[in-house]
Amino acid sequence: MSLCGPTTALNKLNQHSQVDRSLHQDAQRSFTPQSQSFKSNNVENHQLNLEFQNQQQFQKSFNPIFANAFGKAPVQQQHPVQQQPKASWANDFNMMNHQQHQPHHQSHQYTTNQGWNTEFQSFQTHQQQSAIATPRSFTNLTQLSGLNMTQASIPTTYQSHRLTEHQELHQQDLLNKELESEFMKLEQEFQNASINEHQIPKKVEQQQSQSQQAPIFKRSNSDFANAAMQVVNAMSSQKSSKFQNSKFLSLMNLVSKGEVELNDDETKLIDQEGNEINENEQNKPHLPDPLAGIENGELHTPFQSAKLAGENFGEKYTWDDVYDDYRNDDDAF
Amino acid sequence: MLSFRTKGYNGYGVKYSPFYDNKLAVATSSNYGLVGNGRLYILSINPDGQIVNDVFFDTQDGLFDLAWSEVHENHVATANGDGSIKIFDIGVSQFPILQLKEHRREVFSINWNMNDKSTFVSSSWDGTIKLWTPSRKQSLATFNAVKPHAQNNCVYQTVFSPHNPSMLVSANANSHIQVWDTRSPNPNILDFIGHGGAETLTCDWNKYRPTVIATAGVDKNIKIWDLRMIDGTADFQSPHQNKLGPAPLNQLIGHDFAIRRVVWSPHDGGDLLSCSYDMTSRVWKDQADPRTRGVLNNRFQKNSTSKIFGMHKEFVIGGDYSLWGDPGWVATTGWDEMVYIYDSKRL
Repeated sequence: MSLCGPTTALNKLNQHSQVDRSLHQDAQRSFTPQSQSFKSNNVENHQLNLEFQNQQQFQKSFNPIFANAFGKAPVQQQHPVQQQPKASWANDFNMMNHQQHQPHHQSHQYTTNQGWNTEFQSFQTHQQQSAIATPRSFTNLTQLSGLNMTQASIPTTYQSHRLTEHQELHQQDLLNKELESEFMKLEQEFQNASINEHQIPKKVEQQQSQSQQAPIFKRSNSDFANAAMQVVNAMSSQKSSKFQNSKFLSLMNLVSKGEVELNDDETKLIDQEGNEINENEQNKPHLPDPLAGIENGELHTPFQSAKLAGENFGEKYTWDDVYDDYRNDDDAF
Repeated sequence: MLSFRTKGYNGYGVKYSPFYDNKLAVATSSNYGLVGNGRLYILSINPDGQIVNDVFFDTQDGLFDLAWSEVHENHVATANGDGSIKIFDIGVSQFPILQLKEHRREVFSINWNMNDKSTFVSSSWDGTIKLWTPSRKQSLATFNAVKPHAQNNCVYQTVFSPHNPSMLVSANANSHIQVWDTRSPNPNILDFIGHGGAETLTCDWNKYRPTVIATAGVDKNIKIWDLRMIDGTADFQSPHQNKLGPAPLNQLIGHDFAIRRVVWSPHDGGDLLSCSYDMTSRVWKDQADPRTRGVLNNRFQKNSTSKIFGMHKEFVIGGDYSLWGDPGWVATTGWDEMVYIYDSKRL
């Protein structure tokens, strides 16, 4: 396509309409609502259509592999050509020029800022994110319950798509090849483009660096609650007093009910009022103070304090007890 | 029995100093290690039996394990939840003297080399094992214990052999037990599934028998392996591979929940300490006859005895044998914020 000379919007529309889209249209046709008589299905079909159209638009702008790899494609790429207002040839020229630049912007992110390998890794990271993103809390929790770790740590949606090792490897190979060929194409386009690097807005680079710094792993409270629920269930078989009195298990119980959750930046456990759980725990005395209510200076000897403490709890403490404690101290367990 | 409370912090690891007979270090995390800070306690046992806290170091993220340096009596390395390894000098307050950051996820174990005392090893939930020396900020080597993007790729523990400065054993979340030779171009020299698909959480190398290791995990069993008896070529596609996997020398059965730590005694090749989520720690006597093949064909015979320590009120996560004095003294720590030191012979 020549960049020179006047090009009208009409011309462009013409070009666009001449593209062979039979396959594309077939696909679209198959998604037109077929069951008009069933009113209940209409809503779903409408939604499906919308999703499909979005998907089509998305795919048109970029290969889905890259769409997966980088989350959402940049908004500018989703402007269909025909949506441009009637414009002078100059505008049109600008727009086309802009279109030419876009791949460059995009590919600049791939190749100049980062190496091919890094990018591929980031792609894989995103692909596998649901698998890798096993928050510490879940990993810790699942060890103890005798559960298979994957049951608690991996979202069910992902689990249903789990592949065998062989399939996984095969898929990786295919993706590898596809990705490689796409990069070859991009690199060619890249070399043809005559854009100076200085014209690339800094913002893009900033966004890139921000996205690199962004945490990969995001824990969600619902997953946390699910993991806690599994721990509670696994441990519920234990009826011993230790397990009944376990602070950790009671905390897990609260988490599973949603009464305790992680705060937004996932640095604290908070109750429903937003108070930190740990602080509350620490403010509570470990054991009731047996000498509460006794003024300072009132006690002179350890025996006296033991006697007073015993009286406070309705016990009498004698020298025999002291001797017994001393004798049996080592046999306490 | 002696005790110390790590108030507000749940214990993850405890280790005796290799230099002082009365010093211990305890790695702890707040909120059971789920979120929040960590704290490293350095404890001393006074002659009157009191345990006192000499110094503590707060960290931004939870601490999951620690290792005393074998070359410097004041240095302790910690495995941190933020993926870093910090080395503290107990004479230098507040801040670490060295921070090493390469792991991409939580570092879950750290172990100092007892032979070549200049190196230590760390393992992480990012699926890697890294070899370090304190004189370098970069790791000496990285071993990928599992496929980089496998779903379940935590390496829970890696331990140096006390007999060979370049041999490591690692316990992986995917149930694999791996033996590494750090000198080899293909360092993974042995790889087998030890716990029937359940996560292997811990491993240790026997201090007296160079080819014997113990592993334990989510299947509640402690298994003792003789590495010479394992055809560990990591080729699991092979049709000749025994479906049951290799047979252990002995199996120690008794814990009610997953086992978080096994430690062989430094005084007796048959004594083993285990710490479990069933809120007990046990001291085992491995009585398998070394001349038989142990639990051959899965016909398990009772070849062990155990003694139970049940004072902990929450999960018992870390433990260590004392190197010093009368054999059999043990320290354990757990999520009940307690450190107990007791004589395992008197259980």
